[in-house]
Amino acid sequence: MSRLRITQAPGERAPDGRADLHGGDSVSAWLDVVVTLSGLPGDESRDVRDELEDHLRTRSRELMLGGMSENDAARTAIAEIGDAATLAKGLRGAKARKPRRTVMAWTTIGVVGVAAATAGILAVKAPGDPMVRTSVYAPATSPDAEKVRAVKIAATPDMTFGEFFQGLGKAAGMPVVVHWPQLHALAHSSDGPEIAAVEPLGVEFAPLSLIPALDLLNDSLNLTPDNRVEWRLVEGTILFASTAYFDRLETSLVTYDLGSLPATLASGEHRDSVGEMIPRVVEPTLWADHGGDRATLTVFAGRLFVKAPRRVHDQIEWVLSEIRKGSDAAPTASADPLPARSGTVKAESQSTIISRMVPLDHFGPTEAAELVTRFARLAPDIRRSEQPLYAVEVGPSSGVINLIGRPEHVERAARLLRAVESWVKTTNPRLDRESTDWAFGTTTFTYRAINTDPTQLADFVTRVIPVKLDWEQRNDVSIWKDLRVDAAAATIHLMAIPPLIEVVAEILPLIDTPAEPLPLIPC
Amino acid sequence: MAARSVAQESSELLILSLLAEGPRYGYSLSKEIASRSEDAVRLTPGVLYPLLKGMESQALIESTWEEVRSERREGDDEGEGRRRKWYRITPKGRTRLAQRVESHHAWRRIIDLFLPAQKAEPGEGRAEA
Repeated sequence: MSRLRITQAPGERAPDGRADLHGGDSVSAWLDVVVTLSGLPGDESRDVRDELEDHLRTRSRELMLGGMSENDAARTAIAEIGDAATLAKGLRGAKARKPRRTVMAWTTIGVVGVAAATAGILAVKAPGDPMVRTSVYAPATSPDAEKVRAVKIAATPDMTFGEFFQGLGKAAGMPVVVHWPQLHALAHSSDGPEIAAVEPLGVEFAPLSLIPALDLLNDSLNLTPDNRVEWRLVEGTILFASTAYFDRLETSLVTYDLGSLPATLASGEHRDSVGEMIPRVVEPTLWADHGGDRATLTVFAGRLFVKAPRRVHDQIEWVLSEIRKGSDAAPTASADPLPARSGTVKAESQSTIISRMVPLDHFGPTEAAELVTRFARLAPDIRRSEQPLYAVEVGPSSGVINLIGRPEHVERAARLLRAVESWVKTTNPRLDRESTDWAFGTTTFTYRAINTDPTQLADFVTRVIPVKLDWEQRNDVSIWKDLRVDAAAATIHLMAIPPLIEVVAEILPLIDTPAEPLPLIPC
Repeated sequence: MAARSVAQESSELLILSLLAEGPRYGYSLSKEIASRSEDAVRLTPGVLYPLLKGMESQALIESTWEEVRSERREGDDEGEGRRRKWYRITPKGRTRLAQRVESHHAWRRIIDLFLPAQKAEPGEGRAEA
């Protein structure tokens, strides 16, 4: 699977030699994310890209005619489309739909699971953290619900819906209630056939437990992820109805105090960003502002007021807990993606993939995504990994980037962001102030590359560290006093101001695959 | 932003209805739906494009590509032409549209049967039975 494309290919350089993380086309970068996440094959991928590009360019032009700047127009158009991962998942799902009565193969489950695992809306189970839920549904916590989940049932071509549901109840030793009017409405909303007690299931499978069985059934009915056949355990009775039905029953108004966010996110601007971010990462299609009808969100007086189904609240809790933890949250190698719904099936590699929100104080998400993408392209072990490292923009003004990948890769990318952000925060202002009398002095540093081409390493560090110095006027002063690459010895020799050497010394091992696993450090 | 949701079951009906009038591309479909509903209904791109893809895979609609010449500034590298995907309704789509329309009317008739009992508030308008 290809990685995200970077907006400036290796070897290119801004005319003035400075780091250039700002000149990329945000539309192209966003399209790269969607296309990559969708996993569609070549021609299909190109068609999807072209169609979405036409939409974005047309919309951007319309906004520009209304007086908006080009950059703002592009970002607004992207924001209107919504979360890239969700769109990619929808496109993949649209492709995967098969005519009913097709016997689903087990590989279908794998595809569904992997799609969920790469969709960018994953939650990660952190053992021992009470804020993180491994399931959004109450049945998961009750022994009776576990009993229902463990029930095995097979489907035969002539089995009816009524027989299927009753068979489940019989196997679990519990009564079953099926809300047929809701399921009828569900069928009405899809391209599938009627769902009624006497109608045939139209799908066949060997004995399966409840969740994969319902997944296959839902897929065969062409039901969308937002509205499928779901179940709950209510006072010892298994109730089957639609997602929309349960969402309405389980909707509540909840306030979330944003005052407990980290100091860097406590400002009004960031509070608003949190309010913008949540509908993008948590069930994006349910929100009123996205055209949905099951969730609303208002930020007022330092609080989020959210009226939404319980499963949405559970995910909001997780997002906020991740933000509170900031980047000191240790990614967990045993991470378990939070099922987006009860029917999500475990994928083969899900235990090695995590999703982590990293707060950004000094970078925009687009710049951060580009930085991480360059890093993922260069670091040998990440480049060769079967699980790509993704940096998904949560939103143009969210102040957060979503990193998805193997835990060790995500951790290194987060460290890289922190190192460069620290430079931007602490040193760049001083460069502006002190460049005249040049109070920094210089120091030397030599790095021996282990696994990476030293020329590419040198190119990376000189490219990604933003420097605000005006090189046109200060061409007699360089923060890089010397930078030489000895390819034969695989070494880079640097002479530069001490803060720059410090950040380079931190970045290079992150790229070059350290021999020992990096210890986890707090932000 | 007072956008109302568009129910999933109505999306296909709206798209097929518009395409029955003539070919359209994705952005044009979303604009027209918003315009005709006076912004009461919006089909977001995140819903629209997967839906179009699914409808095309079912042969309800078909598509062709057309080169679009950008109207951007002269000398701008990004002013090159780009491709635009136009959708048309197929005979199968017209059949589906007729079924959807009939189904919609039938469903509304059923719902109307229940409304008087559920909307018993004094002075409130009654739906046609």
